[in-house]
Amino acid sequence: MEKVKSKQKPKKKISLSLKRQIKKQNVYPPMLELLVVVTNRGYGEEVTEFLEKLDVNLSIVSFGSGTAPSSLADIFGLYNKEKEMIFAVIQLDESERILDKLEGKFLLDEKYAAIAFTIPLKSATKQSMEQFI
Amino acid sequence: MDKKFELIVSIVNRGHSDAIVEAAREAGANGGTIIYGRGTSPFEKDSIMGVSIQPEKEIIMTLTPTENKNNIMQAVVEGGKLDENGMGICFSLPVNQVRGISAKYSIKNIKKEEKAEDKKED
Repeated sequence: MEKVKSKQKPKKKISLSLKRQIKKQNVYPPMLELLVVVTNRGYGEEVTEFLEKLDVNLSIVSFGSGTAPSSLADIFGLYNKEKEMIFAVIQLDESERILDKLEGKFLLDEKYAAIAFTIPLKSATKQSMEQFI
Repeated sequence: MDKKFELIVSIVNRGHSDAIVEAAREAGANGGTIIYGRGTSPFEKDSIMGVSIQPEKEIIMTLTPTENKNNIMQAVVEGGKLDENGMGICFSLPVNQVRGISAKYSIKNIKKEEKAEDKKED
């Protein structure tokens, strides 16, 4: 089961040099990253609401299960298996700020057992890019 | 964070993730997350009484330091028999930044160093 949240964002002005580059090559330079947050089941909504406040408007929540760190933990049920994965698209220059805020709220608290990482996106369609820049 | 990480993604048929997880754990992976999906490959299409079926898949994502990536991927291929046709695929994605994992790694390293020092004193 997946939940998708998106909100229309006011368009930012693109610099003239970037416009020329886009017109010349007909592609946007890599400017986006995929933010992935993994947290315990039940906290996905909280993370997406927090991301919305940071102006991250498109997020997808997916349900999954974690793998135990050791077979003993698995046998004795010491590991909380149920997870939620939140995928969001963020701008390259805002990733540091967003990760810092996430770290302050979720990543150091054991109840969330959360980690966050970003994957660089090499390309996206023009319409997709224009939603985010 | 100085350490470089990569995301290893393995996609296998439903029910086959245990072998992958075990192989990755033995090669040094610290854990992963499994999500579920459906395959859309035209080579895997099947149908029963005219109703087409999409095979169910498990997607195992493991975050690992770059230096361990090759060992873990090799172990995953051997453990999950991914070199055989139709058993699944495994690939890696670059990761720019990671948060929430460095503390665990640094605590592990500190404990390792303490053990090594204790052995030296003995």
